[in-house]
Amino acid sequence: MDQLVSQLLLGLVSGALLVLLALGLNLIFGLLEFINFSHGALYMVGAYVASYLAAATGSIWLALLVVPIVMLLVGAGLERTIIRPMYGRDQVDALLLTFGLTYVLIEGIRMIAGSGGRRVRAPELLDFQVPLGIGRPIPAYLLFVVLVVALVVGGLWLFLQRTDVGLVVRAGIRDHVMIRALGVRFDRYRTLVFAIGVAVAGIAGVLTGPITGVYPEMGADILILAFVVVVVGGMGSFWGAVAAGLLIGVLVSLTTLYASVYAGIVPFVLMILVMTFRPRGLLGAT
Amino acid sequence: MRVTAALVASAALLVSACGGTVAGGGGGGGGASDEPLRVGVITGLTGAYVQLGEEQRAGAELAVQALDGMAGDRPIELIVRDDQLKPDVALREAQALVQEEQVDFLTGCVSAATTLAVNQIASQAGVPYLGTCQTEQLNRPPNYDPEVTYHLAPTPSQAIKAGSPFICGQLGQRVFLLMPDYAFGHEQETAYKNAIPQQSGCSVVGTAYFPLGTTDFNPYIPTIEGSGADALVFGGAGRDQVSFLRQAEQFGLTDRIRTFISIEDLTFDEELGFDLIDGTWAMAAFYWNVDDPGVQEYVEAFRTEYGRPPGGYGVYLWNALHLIAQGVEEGADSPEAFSEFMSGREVSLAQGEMTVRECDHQALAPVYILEGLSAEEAADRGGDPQFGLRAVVETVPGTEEYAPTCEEVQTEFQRAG
Repeated sequence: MDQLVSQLLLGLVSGALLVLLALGLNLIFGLLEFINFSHGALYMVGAYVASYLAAATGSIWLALLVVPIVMLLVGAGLERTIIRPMYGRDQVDALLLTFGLTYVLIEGIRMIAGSGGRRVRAPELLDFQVPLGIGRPIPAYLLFVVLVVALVVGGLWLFLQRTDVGLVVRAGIRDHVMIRALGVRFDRYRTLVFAIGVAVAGIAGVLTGPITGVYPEMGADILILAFVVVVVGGMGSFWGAVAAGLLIGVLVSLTTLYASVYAGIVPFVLMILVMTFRPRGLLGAT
Repeated sequence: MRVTAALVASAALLVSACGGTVAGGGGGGGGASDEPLRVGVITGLTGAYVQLGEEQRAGAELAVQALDGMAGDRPIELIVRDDQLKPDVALREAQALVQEEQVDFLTGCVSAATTLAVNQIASQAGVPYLGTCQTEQLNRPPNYDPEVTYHLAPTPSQAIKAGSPFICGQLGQRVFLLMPDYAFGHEQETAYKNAIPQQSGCSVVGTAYFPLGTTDFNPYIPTIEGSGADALVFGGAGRDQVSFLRQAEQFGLTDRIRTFISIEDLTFDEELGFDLIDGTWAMAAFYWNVDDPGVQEYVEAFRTEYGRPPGGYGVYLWNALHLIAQGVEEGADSPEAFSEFMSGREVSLAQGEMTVRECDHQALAPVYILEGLSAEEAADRGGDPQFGLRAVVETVPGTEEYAPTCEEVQTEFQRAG
């Protein structure tokens, strides 16, 4: 029983990071209506920025504050220069553009930082195990990751629900033609949403560094899973991404316990089932 | 979507065009005495193992430098090609090397899949090929061609047979295997499941697989602990190894369960750092601080050029070039003569004492058992405060005791017809 509980809890932790990555992807898809293929590479850039800041300051604390701001600016810059001309064109154009951007970013990082990975340590303050009373103790850093993810998810939700900007964004997701007709300068909101999506990916990158290390291809490894989360949750659905991320984390974790050889395909089997029987996703709009 | 479909179709066409059938060519060897000796090196210079491929290129280039660029009275010319770790690219590049470049020898590889592709071309063209990645398949039917095929790296079963007595004797008798879910991981699992029960009182209590490129190993931790294991063998390499050890350390797993790394390479050790390596064990076919003149000659050459000791993959190319040069110097510049030169050859090169046995051209070289050190121990026991991450605690000599016997090999060949 203890082991089952441990697997469940660790599944939730694994799912939390997927949630963060999928939420940024989902937000951009919701408003800009294209799949940002470079999302994984931008997550990697965030992780690299964090690794240099951590090396300079000795921990990731400063990175957690600085990286979202840096990535917000990077996102805004990208949207204003190369993403904006894609609006109104075929979705495939934006897909191909961000696909190309992925390779430029990966090779750029390789040129700057080399092909090898960089080490990032979890903060010393969190270098202990937390006994939960049931199951085996969990590293404090992993619980911290869950806490940060919960704060980011909550913050994003409040931003979308309780602010005027969020109201326009939500309205834009439903019908951006109408929003424009009402005289809203919609381009600014697109820039903001793309930048926020990239900043959230950056936060995911900061949090992942101490768990897996930082390396040029790290975004490619996880992006596919993030896509699966978005599809399973429902394209454009906020809580769908949260639910699907956690569900996939738990399912993979439990499969690891009973039949590890199948753990890698579980998310894809789930995606096929959802696409077959509930094409709009678990919590997607009808 | 039509655009995407067209792109996919184009890519598929390109791939199929690249992976076409193979014509003979080359017919290496037998060049005039002062004609350049052309050696084709095919390795992964892009893709997941780029560092290992680059090191193979460095190993070959340094060997040529150490030989003063000459094999006997023939100047050595290296032609290096990237197989991108893809069998179809390896086929194409190997074909280009034998047909267009007219190479006399082929060597290199970091992936088992590409080594078989290169060997196929070598066999058709009659060009000797010195394979350099750890696989059971290169010198077994239907791939082995006694005229051209040589295997300088240890097979997984060889290394595992050599390492298992240490695992069971020193680390624990209830062993859990955590293996990558692809051919190499399954080959390792089979070898461990054969070797470990042969050690008195020792058994495999559980096995789990992880997909190549796994970043999240957290779910595996309770699975391993729940098995009751007191020793863990991790069969992944590269990035998987870094991710796993980082997460295992966060859980304190490596303090509770003695952890043995099947595939060690300095490139990844550096990224792991002392904190993660301390308190783990590993095995390797090469380690830079081994006290042997042949090993140290290569280490010195590498350090002089690159300012750091080499990892474990360039050594096979260093050895390959030395063997080729020595053979050519002794007049073995045709495939037949080279086969005669290599069969049963005993040499002392950068892996220590090594024999290339006659029955399957498999190199039998030592396997080193390594202990991970702390930063404090590094200078004393590891020989270097920066790179002395491990120290040799046991050297298992390269003998037939740890490989399938020639009798078993012959039976396998007869069975395959």
